[in-house]
Amino acid sequence: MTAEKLLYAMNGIDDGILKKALEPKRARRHYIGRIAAAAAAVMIIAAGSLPVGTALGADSAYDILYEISPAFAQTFKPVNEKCSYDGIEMCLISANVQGCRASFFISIEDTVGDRINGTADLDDSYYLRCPFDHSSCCTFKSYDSTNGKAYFLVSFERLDGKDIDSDKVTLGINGILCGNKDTEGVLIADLTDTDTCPETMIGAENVSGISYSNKEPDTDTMRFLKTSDKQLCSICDYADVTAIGYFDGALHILTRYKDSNSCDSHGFITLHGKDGSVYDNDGICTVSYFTDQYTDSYDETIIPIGYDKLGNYSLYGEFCSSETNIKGRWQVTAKL
Amino acid sequence: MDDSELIELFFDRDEQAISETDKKYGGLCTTLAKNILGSTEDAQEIKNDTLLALWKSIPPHRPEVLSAFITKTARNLTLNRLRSHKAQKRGGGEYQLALDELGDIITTPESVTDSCEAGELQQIINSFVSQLDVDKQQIFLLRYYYLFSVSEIAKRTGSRQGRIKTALMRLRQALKERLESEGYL
Repeated sequence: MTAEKLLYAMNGIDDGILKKALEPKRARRHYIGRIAAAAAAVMIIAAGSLPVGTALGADSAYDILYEISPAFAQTFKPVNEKCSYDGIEMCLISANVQGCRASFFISIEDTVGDRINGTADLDDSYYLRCPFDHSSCCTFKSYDSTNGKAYFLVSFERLDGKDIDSDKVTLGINGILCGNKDTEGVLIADLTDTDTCPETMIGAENVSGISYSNKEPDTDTMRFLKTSDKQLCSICDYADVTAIGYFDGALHILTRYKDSNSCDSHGFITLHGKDGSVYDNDGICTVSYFTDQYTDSYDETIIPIGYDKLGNYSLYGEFCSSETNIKGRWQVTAKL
Repeated sequence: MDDSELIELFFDRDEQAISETDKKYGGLCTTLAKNILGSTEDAQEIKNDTLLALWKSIPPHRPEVLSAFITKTARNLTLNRLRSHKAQKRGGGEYQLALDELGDIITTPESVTDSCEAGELQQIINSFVSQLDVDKQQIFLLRYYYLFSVSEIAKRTGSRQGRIKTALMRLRQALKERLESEGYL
């Protein structure tokens, strides 16, 4: 297989999906518990696959599944397993199984307060216990402000390709992130006098991730900026640039994210030209690693660029974090 | 003019069909072709070839989704032209970048059966894309079908470029896992 074959194979994608991709992005819709007439008609017709009593209840869950795909929604069977911890209730509303793939449709609700809202994020806090090797993903689907429920879809797949059949699967959640804090802006307006002899170290330990465009960097032998507690510049309370330097033909920027594990702090560093353009180069990469204590994390962004060109750019940062991380222990088990 | 009216013009063999289609979809065809070929002149030729292909195929064909029919026609013509000029320098920056990005997920090309049917691969890709949520579908297709740049995708989706890059990285990883599970990698 070649990458070209993959690109050619895209021509087999469903026409309706291709058309939808060109539509301008819609604002996220908040369902208010009403059942659309068309959706109701489909639910009645499809009563064999989803009990009408569940579908026509006050819950807007079916509307949300229907929005993903009408055909998809009709394959779900009700489960209605609940678990509460610290006043927050998780409900496994329904599930579907199709061969080696399955999905759980769940809701999260704060029954005693208002800690859950439309920014709820479970991405790194959920786990699945299955009697088979699997891959999975969790996506936020919608938030209903009238009932205070956030809805998610957890999809998973057997890696051996065999059908999922009469298997017990446990879904657990350890924490819920809420309250996105997004910040962006110019970190350093003038890069002309960037230090060409910063403190460096060979290799990066505890590497947790690398993103690169063209060639994977060798994190064992490359030079990196040395970590420190310095704060060269910052535009938010959870991310600091601790070092900047130019060496080995590239601009290096070291950013520290505080408490990245619990609040999912992360960001991106780019070079912005005076004309508003964003500098791009195939060799740009980011190496992420943790400190020994695994609390703060570091991102070293490496941007190949001529030193004489630095004066044409300013350093720009986009940062994201969450305000709260609601720790807990929610767990439900379903037999598929 | 809506798409059903456009199609009727084709069926009536009214030459206004060409000018109206050019007005509505000409820009999209040209952009898609230019993303691959890198040349405005070549992209204009592709657009004209696409309009001619439409005139020849409608009727008897009556596309259900006209925009998709047009872009698939334009894309095929463009990729075929690229293939026939393979020895020449590829001018399309976005096409080459997209190839490089997808190339990263093909780690052991020798181990893959090249005899896999094109139709099978199309089905896998279609299944993969249709199971994505709407936002991720849009990002994936704007990048790897329409071959828009990351900055253009960011504008279209109202997201930041960094988020688009991260989403694409995760989508490529998910595609890789899917192809591995199907035995294509």
